[in-house]
Amino acid sequence: MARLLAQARFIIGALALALILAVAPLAHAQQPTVANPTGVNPTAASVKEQQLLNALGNGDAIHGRVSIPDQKSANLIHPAGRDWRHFHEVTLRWIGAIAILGMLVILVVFYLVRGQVKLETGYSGRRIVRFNGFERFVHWMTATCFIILGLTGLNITFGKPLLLPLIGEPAFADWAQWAKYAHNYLSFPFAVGVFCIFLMWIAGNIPNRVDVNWLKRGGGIVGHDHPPAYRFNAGQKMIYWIVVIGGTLVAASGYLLMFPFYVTDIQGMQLAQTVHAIIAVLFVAAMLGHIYIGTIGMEGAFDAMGEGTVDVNWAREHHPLWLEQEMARTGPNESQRQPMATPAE
Amino acid sequence: MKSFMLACVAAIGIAAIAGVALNSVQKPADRAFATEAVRL
Amino acid sequence: MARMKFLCDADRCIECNACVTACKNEHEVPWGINRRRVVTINDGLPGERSVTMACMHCTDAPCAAVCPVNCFYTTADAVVLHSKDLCIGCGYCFYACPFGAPQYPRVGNFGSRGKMDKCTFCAGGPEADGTKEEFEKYGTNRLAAGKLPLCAEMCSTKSLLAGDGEIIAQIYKERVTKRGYGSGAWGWQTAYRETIAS
Repeated sequence: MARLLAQARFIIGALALALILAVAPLAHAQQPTVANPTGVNPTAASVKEQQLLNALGNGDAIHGRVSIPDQKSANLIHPAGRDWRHFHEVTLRWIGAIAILGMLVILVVFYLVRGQVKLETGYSGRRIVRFNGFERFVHWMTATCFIILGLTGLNITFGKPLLLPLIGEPAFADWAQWAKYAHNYLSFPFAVGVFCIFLMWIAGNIPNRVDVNWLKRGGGIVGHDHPPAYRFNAGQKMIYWIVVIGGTLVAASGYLLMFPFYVTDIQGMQLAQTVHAIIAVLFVAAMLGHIYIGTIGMEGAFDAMGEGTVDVNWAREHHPLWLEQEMARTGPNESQRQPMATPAE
Repeated sequence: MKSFMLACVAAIGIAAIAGVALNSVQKPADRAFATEAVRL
Repeated sequence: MARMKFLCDADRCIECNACVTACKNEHEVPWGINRRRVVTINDGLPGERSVTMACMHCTDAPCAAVCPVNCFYTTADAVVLHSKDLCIGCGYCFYACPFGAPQYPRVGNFGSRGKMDKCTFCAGGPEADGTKEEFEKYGTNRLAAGKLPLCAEMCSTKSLLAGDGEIIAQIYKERVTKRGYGSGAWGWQTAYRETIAS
């Protein structure tokens, strides 16, 4: 009986196999030979690449859902990087080159034509304190940081075309790495310095009519006039406000860059870099003018910030209203004067 | 001169303090983009 | 010479994330770094589409253009790679990339974001092919062994195609013709300045 059942199972199995094999080619023949026989087009209702690219034309990102925690990856595509790339590689280099080289050209020509602003009445030998120790400390901390920040910042934009071909990629990458560290960490003393400058000298840098008059009379550098001024003349007030406003903007945008995506999205980051770069190159150009006039551009000027005192004749020639105020406070004996600004401690 | 030297020292000092402070706050990507339940 | 490209057939992608898993495993990509990801547009709505996205290895790559230390290079197969030794972690390549491909090991940008990492088209990096140093920095170099990227190989629906641009465009065109529809080659206009008529 068992053998019979076994034989029966075998025969049934073989028949089934034969049936399947016989039918299989028929099933193949039933495959549709026309595309999409049901006529349903699942793509009709869906978003096509071209439609989404039209949305991109408006500057929007194409945003979806992702299952990973980094939500920046939910942006499938965003176009603004293209414009930013062009700004950084082309536009910014032009702006920076024109601003900085332009300022250098102006200064060289100015020096050749006008020469150094000389102390016409000559040195008297008597000195008066112009900036106290704290003021000079803050100025030099800010200035030194500015120099390094400026050079390392310019390296990001101009290093690749100008310096990299000279020293080769590995050396340049090492330099650029340390430059970035210096740039990011020295931003803190710079920001502290700008803030101190803002508080320290705000009283003396409010514009007034004396400044209008000073500017109208050429400021002493256009022509050989000696228009009066208080402690800070109009040119210095311009530098003050450039430093305070420019410094604040550059620090704010810089900190956005140092904390990427903490506060803003990718378009915000691109904007922060744009603002940071443009303000920075203009800032550098302005400071070149400041450095010029404070060093070689004007006889007797550097001492004010270098060791703190200036010659009385220098003060009388360039800041007579300030000199009057100082004399009035201390009397004719200048050796024991109180500084106008915050005390040294 | 003294104020300049002091300024340089202060600049480096503030920068160093900032560096240490920021690096202690710095999150590596594996911790930043992970939930609490992840075993790293 | 081949011109390597990726093509994601968005009508086939089922969001299974096999491509993501394959890449992560093969190259031992650390947690938090996402070389490849799947993005779902219109999730739950009619016309929902999923697209897998990693570096597209663009013609005229914007990442390479903005890098301040020029750490990117393009191979003979048009694969865009970079050197982690030169990278200073400034983050600019991410701002320029339309697809968000560059990934960084650190979140804050004080000093450095760490060495940038991204899809290498399974083609490694500047180190010698197949060495341990290359693997530790960039992952496996499949291209040097004559193989195609693992994400495309592992795709469960053959939605993600990787290989010579002409060949995969041809495959996609044939598919579209045969089935009668196709939503286009995602990202091709931005990455390669060309489109596949569908």
